[in-house]
Amino acid sequence: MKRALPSLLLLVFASNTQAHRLDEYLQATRITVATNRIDLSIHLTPGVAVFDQLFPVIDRDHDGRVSDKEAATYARRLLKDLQVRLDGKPLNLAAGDINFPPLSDARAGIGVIRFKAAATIDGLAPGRHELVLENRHLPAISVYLVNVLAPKNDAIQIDRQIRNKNQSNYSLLFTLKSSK
Amino acid sequence: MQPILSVRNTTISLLVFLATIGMLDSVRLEAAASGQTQKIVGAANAFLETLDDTQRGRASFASDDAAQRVRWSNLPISMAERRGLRMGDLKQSQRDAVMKMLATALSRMGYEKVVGIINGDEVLRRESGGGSPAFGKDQFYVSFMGKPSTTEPWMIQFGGHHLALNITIVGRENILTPSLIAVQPARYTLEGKSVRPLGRETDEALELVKSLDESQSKKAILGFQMRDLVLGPGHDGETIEPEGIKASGLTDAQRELLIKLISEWSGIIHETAAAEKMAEIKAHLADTWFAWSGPLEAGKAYFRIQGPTIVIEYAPQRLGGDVTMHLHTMYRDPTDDYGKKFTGK
Repeated sequence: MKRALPSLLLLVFASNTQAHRLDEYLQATRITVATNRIDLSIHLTPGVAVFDQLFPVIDRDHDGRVSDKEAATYARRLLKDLQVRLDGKPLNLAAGDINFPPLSDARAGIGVIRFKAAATIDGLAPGRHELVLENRHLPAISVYLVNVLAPKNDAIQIDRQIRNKNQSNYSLLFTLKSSK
Repeated sequence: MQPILSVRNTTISLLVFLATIGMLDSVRLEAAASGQTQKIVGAANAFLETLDDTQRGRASFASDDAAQRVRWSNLPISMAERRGLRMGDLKQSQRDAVMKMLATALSRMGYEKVVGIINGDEVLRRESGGGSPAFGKDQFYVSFMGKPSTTEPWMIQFGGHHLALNITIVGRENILTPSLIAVQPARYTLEGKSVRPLGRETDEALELVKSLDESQSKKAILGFQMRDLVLGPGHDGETIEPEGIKASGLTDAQRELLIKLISEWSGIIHETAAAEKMAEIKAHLADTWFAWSGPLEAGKAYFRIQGPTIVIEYAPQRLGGDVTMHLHTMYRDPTDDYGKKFTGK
């Protein structure tokens, strides 16, 4: 499988370079803030030209497919590479679902790995807060997008989002209004 | 006494006159909107009548078919399945009927834009190693969710690579969101004529961002890179926090530029629906944001316009080499994608 991959990639590359993600691993994160939890939904899309760098990280036994165990291992790797702090204190993220696309789609640069993670918060006090997300997952091949979704709870007001140039470091300033 | 009465009577007469004019305008608008729906229903039925039973079955989906509703993408059909009738499988008279239906549902500007995108994909097919089956004008699909009706909700879906039109019709309401409007190549020559299907969007956005002063630019220009659309295909129902500069912080002239830019998307639907949509957008203009990420050069930067009833994203793509030749844009209404304001779905 590993030996056949480069030529297969070249074929896909030649016929489809107009249509798909090419030489970067796009990691698009959406953050949902609630009074009792923080949810992350991450869509990871490997480009054709970086697939052969990424796939061995996931397919650890090199059998050409992603087993449940390998999926869980990759989810743990993602968690390890994500640092989340609320008001300076690290949050314990727990992995949720991780779903892999068909391998043919991933090879073609159109497959999306969908990963969810969440952290519970105890007693978020009214006032201003800062949530920081650092994404250190495979920085050599990755590009990042991070956005907060509009909160469903009117008591939470998003004040500002601050990012570094490539969005690997993200800071969210928000206010929990006090209930009167 | 007499003069005062006379003034009062004149004032009342004037108010009655103005109210009547206003009512007439409203009646005229109502009639125009209902009339346009009738025309679209007529054009859709005219196309359906050209089909045999098998084709009609393949083109028709239930109005609540959740999977079909989201079966659209920026990707070519070889990478993302579409269902319905493929234009390449239709006779010329049937293709003409499809295009007539689109011409009825869209404005002249919108129709020309759609034709420009389709022709662009045909150019891509010819230029991609002798004719890739993934691209080209044959690879666009047409389908219906629900039956054409002047009263019940239904939808026309038309799209393929770089194009997804979702036209929801609920009585007099004709809604274009969500629609993906993209193009590659963004500049080409066809029959000796230079074509830029998304040229005005590109130029008007640049004009707007270049009109900002230093303090406005500081707010509008994001200090980070945006590699792609945030709310592209697969992100229905999501609302992100707006960023950039609010239109309330723009001058009148800049607000006019913003409105002109927005109309490149809101004006794709036929003129009557576009006028109503623009009135709604203008009513929320003060709460509408403009953000830019990238160099101050045409077609090289990402931008986003976001208001209570509109989200427009424009994202140049690195794939294919020259980012100015490969543009993805997304047009959404967080309150009314797929006509949910009127269908409740």
